[in-house]
Amino acid sequence: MQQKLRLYTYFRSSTSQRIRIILNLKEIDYEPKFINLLQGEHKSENHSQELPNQAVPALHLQDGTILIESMAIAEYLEEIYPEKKLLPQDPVLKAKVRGFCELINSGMHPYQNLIMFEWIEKYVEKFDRVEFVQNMLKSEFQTLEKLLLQNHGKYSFGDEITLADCFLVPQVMGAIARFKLDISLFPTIQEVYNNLKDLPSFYKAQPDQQPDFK
Amino acid sequence: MSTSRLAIRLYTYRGYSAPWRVSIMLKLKQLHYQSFFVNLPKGEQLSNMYSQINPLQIVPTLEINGELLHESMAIAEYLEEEFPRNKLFPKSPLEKSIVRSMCETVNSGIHPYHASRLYRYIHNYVNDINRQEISEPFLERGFTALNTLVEKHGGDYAFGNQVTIADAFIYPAFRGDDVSYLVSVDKYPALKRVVENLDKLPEFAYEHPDSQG
Repeated sequence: MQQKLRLYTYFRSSTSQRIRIILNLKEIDYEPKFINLLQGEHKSENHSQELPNQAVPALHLQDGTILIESMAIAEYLEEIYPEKKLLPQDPVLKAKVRGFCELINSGMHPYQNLIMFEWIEKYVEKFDRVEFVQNMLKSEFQTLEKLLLQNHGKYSFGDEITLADCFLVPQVMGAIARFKLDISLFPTIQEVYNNLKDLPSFYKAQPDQQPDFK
Repeated sequence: MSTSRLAIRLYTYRGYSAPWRVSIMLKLKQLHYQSFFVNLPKGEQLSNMYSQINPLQIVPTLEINGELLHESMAIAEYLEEEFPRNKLFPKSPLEKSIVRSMCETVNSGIHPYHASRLYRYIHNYVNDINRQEISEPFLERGFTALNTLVEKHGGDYAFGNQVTIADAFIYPAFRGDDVSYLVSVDKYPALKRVVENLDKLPEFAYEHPDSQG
């Protein structure tokens, strides 16, 4: 018998949270495997086969194939499980949704991950992670706000949930919890975020709802 | 989509890795386009003039039939769907996922770590450190991961023996002016082989920034 779909995840990893949301929205059954990033489990020899890029998320398919990179995983799930669509039909709108996700994926998240902080903290004694992230990401949050202003309905893009929402919520949730983001500075982000975060698929994916939450 | 009356305009800076990816894609798809040059080293993307064109102040931006598209990966997916000839992605969802993971390793695992804004912020905290020292550990990590992917799945090119979108991301990741001084392809044998094969292809030819009018 083939194994279940397996997601390697860490409760506080916003990249893992994106995939947890998508799996919930598409009602895909999976087995979570918990990797403790704080304890460096992602770097250990024990997990080197399971985490080919030493990172979460990693999605192991039923036949053992391993997928990495949250955007690549999201696109795969969208193609294989098309029932609950997370990308609009219109090609330009689809490109805008993807562009929004990538802004977060490559324009924001890399500057707040553990490898960045671990590196800086070797050089800077009293490094203030909060101040660093706030400075690095201020104009990117403004860009997200502009994009939402142009495109939002109940959710990021109109009134249907898209991948943009799956990327937005973890980014904002993490920024509020860990980097003191004042979301009231970004009223459209705030409105959309509040419409999304308590929806069951989103709520069940959040860090404090995970079995490995500490 | 018919290309007979299509207006495609690329906001770009020649030699820089991110916009270079998009010009490679357009050439691979044999799409004619105009280039508008935005002086990235001088921060021209933040100027009032460019902000009128694109309030997001981002380069690359692709203007196609009056719509502004940003983010090279989103643009790649759009071009693939709208111009199906000269495919940039392989067929199956699984193979596509592998190619996408190569692109994303560059896009979010390498490129952010040689961005000028990163240097600006780090220099607020650490004075006596140069760009090489800042970027090196991150680039090593990213390129090592990329080399592993290409070792596993590559042939003449990044994915098998056909050029894909992964090559359009990987080639500028080494040859781009914003990164080539920071990394040597010699350290990564699987990537070296691919980059040297791509050196021979006209769609990947370097365009010098001085050639911008």
